[in-house]
Amino acid sequence: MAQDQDQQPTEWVIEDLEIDSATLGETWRLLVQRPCNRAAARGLPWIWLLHGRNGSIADMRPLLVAIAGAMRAGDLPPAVVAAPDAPDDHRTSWWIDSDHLPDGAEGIPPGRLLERSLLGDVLPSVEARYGAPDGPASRVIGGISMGGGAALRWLLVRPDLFGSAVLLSPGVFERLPAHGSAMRRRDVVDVEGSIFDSGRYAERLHYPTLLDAVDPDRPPARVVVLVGDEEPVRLDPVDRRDLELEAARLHAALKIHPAFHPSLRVVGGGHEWALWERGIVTALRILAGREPITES
Amino acid sequence: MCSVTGDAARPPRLGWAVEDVAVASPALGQSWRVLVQRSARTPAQVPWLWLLHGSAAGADQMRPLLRAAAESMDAGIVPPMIIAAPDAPEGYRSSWWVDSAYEPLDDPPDPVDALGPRAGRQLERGLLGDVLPAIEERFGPPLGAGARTIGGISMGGAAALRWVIARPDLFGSAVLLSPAAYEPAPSDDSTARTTGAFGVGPDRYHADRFRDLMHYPTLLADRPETMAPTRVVIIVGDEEPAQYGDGKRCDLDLEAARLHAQLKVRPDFESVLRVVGGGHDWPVWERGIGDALRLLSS
Repeated sequence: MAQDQDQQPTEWVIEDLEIDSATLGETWRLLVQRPCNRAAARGLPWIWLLHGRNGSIADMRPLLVAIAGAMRAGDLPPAVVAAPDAPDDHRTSWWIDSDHLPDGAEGIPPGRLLERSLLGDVLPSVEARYGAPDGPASRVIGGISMGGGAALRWLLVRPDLFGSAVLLSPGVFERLPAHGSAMRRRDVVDVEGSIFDSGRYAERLHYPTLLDAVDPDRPPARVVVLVGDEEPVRLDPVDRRDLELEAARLHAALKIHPAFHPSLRVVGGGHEWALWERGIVTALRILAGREPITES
Repeated sequence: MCSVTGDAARPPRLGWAVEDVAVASPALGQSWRVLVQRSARTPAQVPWLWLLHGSAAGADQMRPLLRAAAESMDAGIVPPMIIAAPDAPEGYRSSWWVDSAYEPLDDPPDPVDALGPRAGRQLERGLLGDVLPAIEERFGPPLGAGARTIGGISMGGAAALRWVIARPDLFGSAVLLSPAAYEPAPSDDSTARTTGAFGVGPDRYHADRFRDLMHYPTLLADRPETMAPTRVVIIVGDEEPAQYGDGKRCDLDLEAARLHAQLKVRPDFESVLRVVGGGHDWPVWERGIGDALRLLSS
């Protein structure tokens, strides 16, 4: 995968692609940022970035631009970046496979196999176009907010695909969502007629449950969690769930697990794009072992 | 960062000097040592920062932080302030800066173990009632709480948190570096449980005493929310060691996030949290003091 130093790509282009997915029965849109010289993409690591709830790849474009700027400046090692766009009626579906079969009353569309489609159809097909990375050690999964929750899931359950993760203001929760929370009402569409099934949630997104199943002897994965200190207050009957507090809980859980090397940064800001555009570069720098420019 | 460069546009150096001062304290029954960093070229009315050292440490270990703060002030990143770093009395370096009610049945061994128990003394009363007014008077006219910040490292950060909540008459803001803000109880191997700081009578540690003096939700419950907002800056490293207290995780980076969540919803506080790379050690604090003071004033 190593390239000669004098062949390092310096100019980057963003392609807007459509990829057929047999599993989904339709096409996925995604952005791929690669060297202008297409051949220079061969052998580069890949970074997959998932957008947040109600987000889209349009939101992700500035992050790709920020990454390209940092690579051009030599602040980040070169990598191909891919950002998929969740299907229109599933922008709040946590990038997971859902078996939800609604009765139609709530206007929620039937569940779809987003994860299986993205990881099984789209990822291999897109990477094959430019040259796949050299195994999971050269593939990063990243995400913002809801996308950070899914990125954590994939890091934990798909070590065959992903060797490290960058989680920006991740939507991760140490405990199951409280009754009445938005997550139960709309976000995780689920088994048959039930919109939210606790067992399914635990099995898919609840990281303490997923961590229990992680082999402590597998190769250690680096995880960088970055979040702002002005996250909205999330009250809960038992305890607070503000995302910077949840990030600290996640960090504490990963810290004592031998299969992870976590880093946590809390910076100034809220749940917002200004923070993520700066934060993605900071997080990737930490992942690359380059101590970041001081962030405030 | 507060690195000093040869930038010609930088404000002139103020010529900060550290004085080693001793002040008698009737409440303590002996004198206190305090390092005071000031500049003869600043006006008398500059604000004060009182900076408390951590467990088993002393004021002399705070000198690199005083220097880092002076560099930030010289670089114009931080407004000028006088910094006072009191030295906990020998034998009481791990006593959490509180008034202790511990009365051991036996005399302590000689030589004294820095982390071992000793008969309780009135550290808080001595420092806040005797030392603070005497020192400040020596260098200028008395200033209000709005011109006085309390700060501290680790154990000193916990005491600083107590004082910014419970003594709004004295302190208008706080900088907490890796504060040992344990909630609800100190970690199993904390000096809070061993030195007698929170002892009562012959018992070296009393959970009720810790709750009354140091448990910040308890302190917050006693403070009216209608007071003017107090700014608190918390900086901690993400490599804090894993700790457990009564079976619960209480790593100080996690505790800092919990504290921030509690302060965030209070109208009488403005909390700022930064988690940086590093452990429970001096590189975090030497970088952190300049950042904390900058965030305090921004």
